This record gives sequence, structure tokens and C-alpha cells, in this order.
Amino acid sequence: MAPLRYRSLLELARSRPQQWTCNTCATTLKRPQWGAIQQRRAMQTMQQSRQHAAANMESVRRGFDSKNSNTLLYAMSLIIGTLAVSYGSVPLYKTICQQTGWGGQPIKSAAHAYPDSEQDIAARLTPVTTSRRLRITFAGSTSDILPWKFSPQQREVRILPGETALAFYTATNKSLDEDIIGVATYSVTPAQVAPYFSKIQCFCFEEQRLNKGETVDMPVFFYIDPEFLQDPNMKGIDTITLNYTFFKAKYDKNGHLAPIPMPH
Amino acid sequence: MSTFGSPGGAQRFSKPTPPERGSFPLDHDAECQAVMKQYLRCIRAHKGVNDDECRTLSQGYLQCRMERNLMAPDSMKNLGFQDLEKARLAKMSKTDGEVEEKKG
Repeated sequence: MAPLRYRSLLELARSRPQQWTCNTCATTLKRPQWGAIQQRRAMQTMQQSRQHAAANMESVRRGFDSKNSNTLLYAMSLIIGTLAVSYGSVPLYKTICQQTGWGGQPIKSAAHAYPDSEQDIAARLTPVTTSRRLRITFAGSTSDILPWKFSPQQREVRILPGETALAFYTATNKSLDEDIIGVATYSVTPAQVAPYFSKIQCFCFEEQRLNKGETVDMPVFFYIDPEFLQDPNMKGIDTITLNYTFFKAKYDKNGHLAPIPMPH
Repeated sequence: MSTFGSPGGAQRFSKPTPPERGSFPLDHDAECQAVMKQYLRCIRAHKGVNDDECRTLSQGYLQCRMERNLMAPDSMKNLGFQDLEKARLAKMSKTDGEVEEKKG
């Protein structure tokens, strides 16, 4: 075949938009599969063959139209479907886990089942003598703007699940000018022990007013629920840490106790 | 919010539960401090193990608080001391039996 005269695509597109064919289409459409008629046409000039090829090109394109729209629809639905699944996967996962109890998610947690009779309370507060002793360590901290010294009085306590234990923290108001109100929050680590760590009485969530220069002992009376031993997630846990943090509080305009946020 | 995107199996309940019997009123006058110091000494001596001896002392501390209106009165059974009570009663009845034997 003689080399084609160079023509810019733009020129071609502008001059004869209906009749332009790409080189590949032109050469492939000239192949014998189109029948004997085409073979004879192969003898004709390039222009003519191109025109015929152009006519066939349109028909070829038309054949692909429905296929193209099909592909487009499938692709769009796949993309949108993936997006939807990725958005919905979080609540879906949570629902499935809660229904089937996968991964140890308890359907009814020990800490949330309030005992309705004396026997239940007494049964839960019985030390399980056959189990290992759990080591409870204590930590205390204060907010930066609270001039209190707050520390635990014992380093650790070793208790059996179901056994009630007493622990003490001591707080000193170092400020000599004013009485300060503090509010404490607590947390338990490792975090999964939290539902089993039951406090009977402590000094958290309510105001604790210390007079200037005063030192006070604050007890915590708690136990570990015996159901701790049945939970497979708790198998390796032997040390539990109780963290108390004191924040400064004041009464706001409505008379509600509100913590003063830490300065940043 | 820290659990956003985490699988549902994490048992971290972000709301801490309040204590069952509320908050201890502050012992401003250190009325029960002597019992407390005894208890702490016991804990230190037993290297933290919550022995029956220390539990008896903690029972004593709570009773001290109840007497001085620093704690709502409650039965020892509800506070988890029922096994101590049983042991104490058993010991008392045993010593009573011994005393009776001596007398008789």
C-alpha cells in the first residue's frame, strides 16, 4: 500500500466529518470478511474505499451503541453500589454483631442487668474463691487549673471476682485563699473490663468541696462482677487500673454544677 | 465519636456508669481516719491481697461511716460481707459451744 498523504485530524474532521475514518477502521474494513464485493472495491482508489469504509464505519458504530450504553449502566451501578455498601457497612456491621453476638459482643451485659432481689445482690457479691486474684492498681490525676494534690493511698489491691474491696484516695486543697469544688470522673483500663467493674460507692460525679488547706480521704468501694470469669475476652486480663481525674467545677447561671474546661 | 468506624464488637461503653449507691459524703472531720489507717496498714502488710483480716477492717470502716451519718446504712450482706458474717457467726457459735463444754 502506498503511504497515506499526511492530513491533520482536525482538517479531516472539519472537512468531511461524516466520512472520516481512522486508519485502522479503513484497513480492517477492507478485509475479505466483507465479501467478494469488497475485494473488487479494494482495487479502487483510496478515497473511494475510504468513503465506503466511512459508510460502514457508521454502521459499525451504530452496532456498538447499545453495547456501550449497557456497559455504562453496569459500570455506574457497580460504582454506586460500592459507595452505598461502604457507607452502610458501619451500622450494618454493628447490627449484625449485636444480633449474632460475634466477636464477644454481649447481648445482655452484666453491668446493665439491675438485680431485682436481695438474693441476686448477695449472689453477685460472693467471692469466687476458685479464681485467680486480680490486681487492681490505682492512679489519680487532676486538671491543670485545679490546685489540689490528689493521690491514691495504696499502690494495689489483689481481689477475687465478687469480692468487695475498699480503696482510698487523699486529696489536699493546696490553695490557701479559697474553697474549691472539684468533680471527679473515672475510667478503667483495659477498656473492656469497664462493664464488669462495679462501684458500690465512690466519690465521683458529684461535687466535692474542699475548704482551703484541707485534706480529706476519699474512699472507693467496688468489686469485680463474677461474670468476668465467664467472658472469654477477659481471659488474659490480670491487672486492672482505676484512673480518677479531678476537674475544677463551678455553679453556672442555672445553678448546675459544670466543670471548668482545661485551658489550651 | 472515637468509636466511629470501629467494628461493633468493641465493648467500650463510652458512658461511665455512676456508682450503685451514689457518692460518699466527704469525711471533713476525719472521724473514721483511725480505722482507715489500720486498714491501709493491713493491706500493706499483706502486700495488697485482700485477706479476711483486711476485709473485716474495711467492714469496720464502713460501719464507722454509717454510725457517723457519712454513709447510708445498709446491711452487710448487700455490701458483700455475707461470707465474713457467716464465718464470724460460725466462730462465735463454736466458741460458745466450747465455753458451754467448759462450764458443763
